[in-house]
Amino acid sequence: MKINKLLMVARWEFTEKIRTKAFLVALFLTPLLTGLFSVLPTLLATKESKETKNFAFYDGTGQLLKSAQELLNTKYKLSTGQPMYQLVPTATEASSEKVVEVYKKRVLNEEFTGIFVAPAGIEKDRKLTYFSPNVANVREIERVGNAIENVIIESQLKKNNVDITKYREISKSVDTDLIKITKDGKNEESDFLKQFMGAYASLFLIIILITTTGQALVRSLLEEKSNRIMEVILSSCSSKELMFGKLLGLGGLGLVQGGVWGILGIGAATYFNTGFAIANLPIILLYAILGYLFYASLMIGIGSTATTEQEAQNITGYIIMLSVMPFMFIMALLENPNGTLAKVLSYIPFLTPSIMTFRISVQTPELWEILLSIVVMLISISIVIYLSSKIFTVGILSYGKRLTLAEVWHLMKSRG
Amino acid sequence: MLLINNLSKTFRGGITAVENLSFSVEPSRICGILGPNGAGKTTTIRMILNIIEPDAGTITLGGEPITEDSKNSLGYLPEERGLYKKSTIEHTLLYFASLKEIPPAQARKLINPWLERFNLGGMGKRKVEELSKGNQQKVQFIAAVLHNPDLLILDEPFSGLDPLNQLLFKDVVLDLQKQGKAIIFCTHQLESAETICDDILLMNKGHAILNGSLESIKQQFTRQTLMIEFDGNGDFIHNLPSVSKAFVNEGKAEVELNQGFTSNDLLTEMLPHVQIRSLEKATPSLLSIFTSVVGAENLTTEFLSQIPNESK
Repeated sequence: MKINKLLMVARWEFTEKIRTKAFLVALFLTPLLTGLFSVLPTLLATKESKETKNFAFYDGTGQLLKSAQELLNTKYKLSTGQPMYQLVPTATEASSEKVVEVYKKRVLNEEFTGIFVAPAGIEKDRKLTYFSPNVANVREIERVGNAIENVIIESQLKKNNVDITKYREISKSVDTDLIKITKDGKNEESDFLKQFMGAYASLFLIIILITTTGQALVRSLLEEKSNRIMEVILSSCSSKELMFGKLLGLGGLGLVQGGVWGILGIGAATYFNTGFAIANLPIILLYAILGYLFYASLMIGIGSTATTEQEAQNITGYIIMLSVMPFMFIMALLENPNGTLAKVLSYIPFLTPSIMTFRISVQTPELWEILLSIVVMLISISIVIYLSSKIFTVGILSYGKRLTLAEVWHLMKSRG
Repeated sequence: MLLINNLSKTFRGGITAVENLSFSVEPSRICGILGPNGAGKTTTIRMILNIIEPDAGTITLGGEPITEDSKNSLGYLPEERGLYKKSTIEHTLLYFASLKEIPPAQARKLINPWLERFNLGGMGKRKVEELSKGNQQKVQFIAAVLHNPDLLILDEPFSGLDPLNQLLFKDVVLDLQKQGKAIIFCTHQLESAETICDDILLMNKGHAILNGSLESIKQQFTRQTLMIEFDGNGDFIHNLPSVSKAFVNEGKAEVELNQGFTSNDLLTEMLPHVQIRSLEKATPSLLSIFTSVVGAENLTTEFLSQIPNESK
């Protein structure tokens, strides 16, 4: 293999692609989208409404509404000082079914957010019913429900001559402050949200980086194959020089991309004061490079057998599905970043880079785990590169008919 | 220059693409490789380019077996046209030159004369996608010859060109021939092969069916048959010393000569008897040679369907 030809291929891939609009767009659009995807949902979910929400309230007991409203008013206020939730009493002469029937229309007209029905027997069977076109705003339903529960409990206590203020004192809930312990001994104030955002963003970026660069690799390969530049190139250099040149050139491109994103990430992390530790960046970068090498060599090998854009998309699609699998485990990993699940997933080469990146941003694993995962990656990469280069040599020259699985299997077994 | 000896290649699945193929290409000669699709032309070229390895046989270039290093002295223009659309002409040419290990400074000096030769002077900064198809083909051709290769492999270099550009390309190819390059010229177009090639290799089903200089092949297949038109009674022709066989009609005769006699002998013998209007020697075209050698039934329908179109 001639290194200078390999470098020529690498330089070409790098300089020609870095000039394209698509690259520049991806460079700045992706972090923007990442920001949106990781920050926006949490922001929106925690953001309080600015308007008072009106609920129709059927009070079968005739005693709940007033105290519940008072309780809600003290607990939940808008920034304007207005109550956040307003319980509007309905007529109680008719049966609850009839009332609901009438108020349904008003709910649909958006006069009310929903209807609460507290039947006369609620003190005994503790059954509250909520009618609304949207029953997913769990938080509000729970708040009103809790208020009613409180009122019922307190009225029961009163009936049993228990001191309410004493009860309140006793049943006061525990508030947990979150302090993250870091390796350097400093205590860091943190909360779930910040923790989640930092880890989620790095996971998201590393996956995007790996998959987009891998896809770019397959696309450039397919372009050369379909317009037969491939043959001209192969009349000038060997298939191995071509393959490694491409891996290197597009890897360099990915590094530029990752570098820019890293800087933006640090900027954002400092600005929003999230729990993202800058000290973790070098190791995350290392995992990004390993992940790229693994996925890119996998894609270049399998992708070389594609003969049309469609086929290439199918192939890269499946591989990308593998790479986004860690998203399924996010919650479990957050809950227990050093649990058995996290440990097992960390050594599956398809998942290692993203899982480890995620774990490192949540709670740095032991050094031996990091080293072992790196060794696992290096071995897997060597195997993938070895097999891919065999497929690549034949794949890039096959036109019209895609290599069958049997043929690919044969190639992988062949020597040379 | 290029010497190919007993070359064979069988692909997995038992398809024999090339079997026992031997031929050579000399400096300053253009060797036309002709044959229907699936004849083994592409496989042969790929083996010469060291892209795929032969199962048996040898390929030597300038006396040395081909290696990765010999790629630098090869130039290849594939049949399908394609370039990096978003890149400029100059970048593209510099890249291909760099893959042939030509230093950039030297490559830059070589680019302009070639662009001018192809009427693309000053267009180096243009993107490939802004060029017409014909101009893209010129760029591709330059990419194949920029590094001054000893052996040039041109696959259908003239297809898709307008007549003016066809002349230009032909001129350039003949110039390269004069400079001493060995040139392989793959084509379906029998007519252009006939006008440009010195040597012919006809392939079918992986075998060389016909190989040699165009002249010798034509000679070999020129029937010693003359068509003569004249005024007067031609019955005497049967008895002339030079004639071995004759079909005489009113004012027309198809004559096969005896060994050692030429058309001049026949004329001298006939002149005292009749007024000669015309004499024609039947020279076979490549097409007629091919069909007589291969047998029409052995040529794939694809090839046959191309023949009438391209020999019009």
